Amino acid sequence: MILGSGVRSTCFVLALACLSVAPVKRASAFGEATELEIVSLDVGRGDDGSQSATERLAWEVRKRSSVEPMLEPGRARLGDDSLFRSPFIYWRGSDEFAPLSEQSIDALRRYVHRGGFVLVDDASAGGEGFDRAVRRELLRAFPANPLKAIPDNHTIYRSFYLLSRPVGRLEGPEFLEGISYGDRIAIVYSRHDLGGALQRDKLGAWSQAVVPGGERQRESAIRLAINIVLYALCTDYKDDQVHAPFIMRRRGSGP
Amino acid sequence: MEDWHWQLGIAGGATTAWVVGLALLILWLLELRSIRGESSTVRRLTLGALGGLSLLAVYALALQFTLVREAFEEIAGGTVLLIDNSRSMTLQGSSGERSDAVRALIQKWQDDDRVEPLVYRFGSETRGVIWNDIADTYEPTDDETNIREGLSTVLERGIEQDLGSVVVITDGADPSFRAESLSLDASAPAIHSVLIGGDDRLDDQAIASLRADSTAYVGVPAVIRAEVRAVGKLREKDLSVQLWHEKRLIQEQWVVLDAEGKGDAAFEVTPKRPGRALYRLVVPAHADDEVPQNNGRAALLRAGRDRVRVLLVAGRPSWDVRFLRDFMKRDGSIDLISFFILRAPSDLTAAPTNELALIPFPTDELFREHLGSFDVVIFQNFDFAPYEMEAYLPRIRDYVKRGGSFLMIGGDHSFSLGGYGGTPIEQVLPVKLPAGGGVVTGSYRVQPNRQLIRHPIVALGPDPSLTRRTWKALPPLHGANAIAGVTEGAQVLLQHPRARLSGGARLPILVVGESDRGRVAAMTGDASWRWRFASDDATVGSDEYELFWDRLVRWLTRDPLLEPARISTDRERYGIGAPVIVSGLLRDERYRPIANRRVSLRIEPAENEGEDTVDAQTDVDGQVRATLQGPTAAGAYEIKAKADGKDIAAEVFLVEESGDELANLEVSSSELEAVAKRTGGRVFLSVNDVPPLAELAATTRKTAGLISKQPLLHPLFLFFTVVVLALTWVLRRRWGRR
Repeated sequence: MILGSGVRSTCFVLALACLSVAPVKRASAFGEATELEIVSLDVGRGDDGSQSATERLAWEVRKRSSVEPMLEPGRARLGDDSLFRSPFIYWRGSDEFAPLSEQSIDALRRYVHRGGFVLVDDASAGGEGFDRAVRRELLRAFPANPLKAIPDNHTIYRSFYLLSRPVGRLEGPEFLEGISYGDRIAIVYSRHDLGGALQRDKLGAWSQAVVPGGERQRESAIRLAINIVLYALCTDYKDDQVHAPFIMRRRGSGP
Repeated sequence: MEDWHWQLGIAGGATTAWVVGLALLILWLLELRSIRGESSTVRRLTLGALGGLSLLAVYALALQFTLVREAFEEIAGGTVLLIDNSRSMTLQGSSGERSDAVRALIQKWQDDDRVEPLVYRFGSETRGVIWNDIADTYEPTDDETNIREGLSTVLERGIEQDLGSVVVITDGADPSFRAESLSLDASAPAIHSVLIGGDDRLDDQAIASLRADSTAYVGVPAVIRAEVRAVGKLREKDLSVQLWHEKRLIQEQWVVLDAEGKGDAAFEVTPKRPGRALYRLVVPAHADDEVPQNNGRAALLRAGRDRVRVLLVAGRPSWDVRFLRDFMKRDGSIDLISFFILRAPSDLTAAPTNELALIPFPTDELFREHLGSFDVVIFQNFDFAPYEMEAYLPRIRDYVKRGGSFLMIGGDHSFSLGGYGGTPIEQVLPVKLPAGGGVVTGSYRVQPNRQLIRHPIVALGPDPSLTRRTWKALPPLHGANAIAGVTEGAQVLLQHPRARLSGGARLPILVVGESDRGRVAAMTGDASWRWRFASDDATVGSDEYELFWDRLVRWLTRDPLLEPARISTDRERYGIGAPVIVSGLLRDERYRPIANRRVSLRIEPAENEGEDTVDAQTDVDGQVRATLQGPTAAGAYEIKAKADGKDIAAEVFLVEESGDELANLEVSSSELEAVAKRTGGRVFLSVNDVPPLAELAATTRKTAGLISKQPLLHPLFLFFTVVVLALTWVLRRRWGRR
């Protein structure tokens, strides 16, 4: 997708502005091994743009919150130990894929059981292939925990920003879906191409236009992505009683 | 002669007797036939008679007639005195103290030296005493009357002692005793009972029983229930029950008694703070109450929190924070309040405040208003400076010194990197902070300190060997805060395998210690979540991760089960002067058994200096058991175990003037009468009616063997037989017969 030159230049300027005001943060004192790494899942289909999305997401999270993500996250495969390099996996795709091996399904199951979180991002812009394949594989891995719509009052919509509905590069459905595991949602499935809204080119300009809401929608998509990262790290922290009166007040007076 | 009976001594018995008898009869008939031709009738009659007589004499000798009789002898049977040694025997009746009546009775019996009984005292236990000393040494102190146990004991021993009779001297104040609970067969000795006070009707109001939750929770109502009872003429009067706490009357209830003089009172109390709280229930003594000692009882509530309250403050969200919070949220015993810094002052949220779900850090609320309500405060990679918290650090230090717990977990905002060097927080931490900060990077597997391998926080295996193996198998950590050393008395539980302190010691990863009354811990790593999240089934330590953090939180909050030394008493409440049996497991601060050592046990507050400490010997496992003389004044007491001059364990107990022993004082004779009826004994309701002991003592009849006589072997009968045979032979020869 190609952006108009005006949009691109505006984004570039904004990005430079962000860079100029962003504080110089202390590099992780203990090394990268203890940082948040938003690992993109390599399902063997080459560069699906997920690496760019995770790098930009890491950058946005670092810039906007106190979380210290690794700015150059790596990739992982379902079938090997690299999956367990981080409890956060970003799985982006747009095309249908062949059924995963039993070993991969078992690895996914273990990953979630031991505390891992998976963000599945459908970048197909309304296509059914990836959606069909993802639902099939998730049902294989978690037959007792099917995907369900996440209600709009869920913590995920207020883990950092106060959000009313999910959007990405596409407006998409009015809900996210998720698989609950214990007290938390362990897998979040978005059909809004969140990564598409985050991607930038090498010069820092946005790679893809956001429709139909433009830059306002892009900002909402970034906020949603940040909320998902914060939810993965904090789970239902925002449901703690100490937060309730503040959030209720703001919900009532918010835009 | 009625005891004598005949027996035949001839071999073959009656059968042989018949055969021999018939043979001799035939022989006599042949003899009569042979003298049939005798012309002289005189001669014929004489020879016939002599022949018959001599055959009859021989027959009688051959039968060996024997007279047999069984002989018996009368033996004086054993007599046992079973004397009630419970405290109710000290009560004063209208005719004096019950124990005085016992002494008087014994002295009277001792004056009569015909019987010297075996003597036992019964109460909490049954033990033998010397007959001659009993009148002087009888001081009933037991907290229990157990007639069944006393009688069963002497009956079992009596089998070997040819027991003839048992005399029970008691007030019968044992409402649990039932005659059918005794095993009494036909050979059972006669069981007599002397009921002291049986003729002295008691007027008494009492708290018969008291039930209270031994463990209560702060803010949660606990119930103290009392069963009250009145006897005598006070049975008709309702009574009031008062609840006292810390010398204040806090509640009062009127109780309407039923037809049996019983009633119930229940009080609800809500502990306001953790710790032990002593409550007293009192029935104000009526003017006619003869036993005011049983009008008050005490309840000791150990007030804790139903859940451990933990405040977790994290400088930023991280996997270490996420996994620890998830664990504590899942743990039903933890009430977690967590606060994470989601946005640092330098972060750019690109949104106005009303579009953010962020709230201001409620420092004042957390660290001024509610700090004391937390059992544990955890700073996880949190630096205080950006949040203007400097003013609260002294409060946190004081909170710890007063008994709170504090844990700092590593990260780039912790320890020296968080600017804690030289602050009040460093004053309570178990580690010394280096001036310049610093970290240790790289991957490493923590190693447990061999000297403290039994410490429950790191003892992940059932024995030191398996614990070491478990730690070796856990996934590695990454990075740690540098420290300058550990404070005096602190314990290094986990260490870095390679990094060293400047003095050469290994870099501590987990250090625990105490700061005045509080407990503190320092975890210099920030990746323990790696133990929980790993791909390898063989090394992932989900259970170990949770066990480690569970133990650490419980140790910080002084969970009694994790203390190195603990003692307990055999009961929670005792009567005045009752013996206190103490047992426990004593280990040193490294959790090694204090084996084969002398330790002292002391009751506080002490009554008599120098007489309240007992030395006891531990066994090879550090187990100790001893009996101490209980205090003689009612109240709450603490018993402390001391080793090497240091208190290492303590337990509290109550001493009550009343207790269960004085709760039911009504003399009950019905069950003892049933026992007497079954065994041929007697029951005396008044000491004045009791006969001399010799009259109650019994004899037993024993078989002494058989006595036999053979009267036909008498020399006269033998002479008579010989004379008849000789005369028969002479006459037959003279009268021409062969």
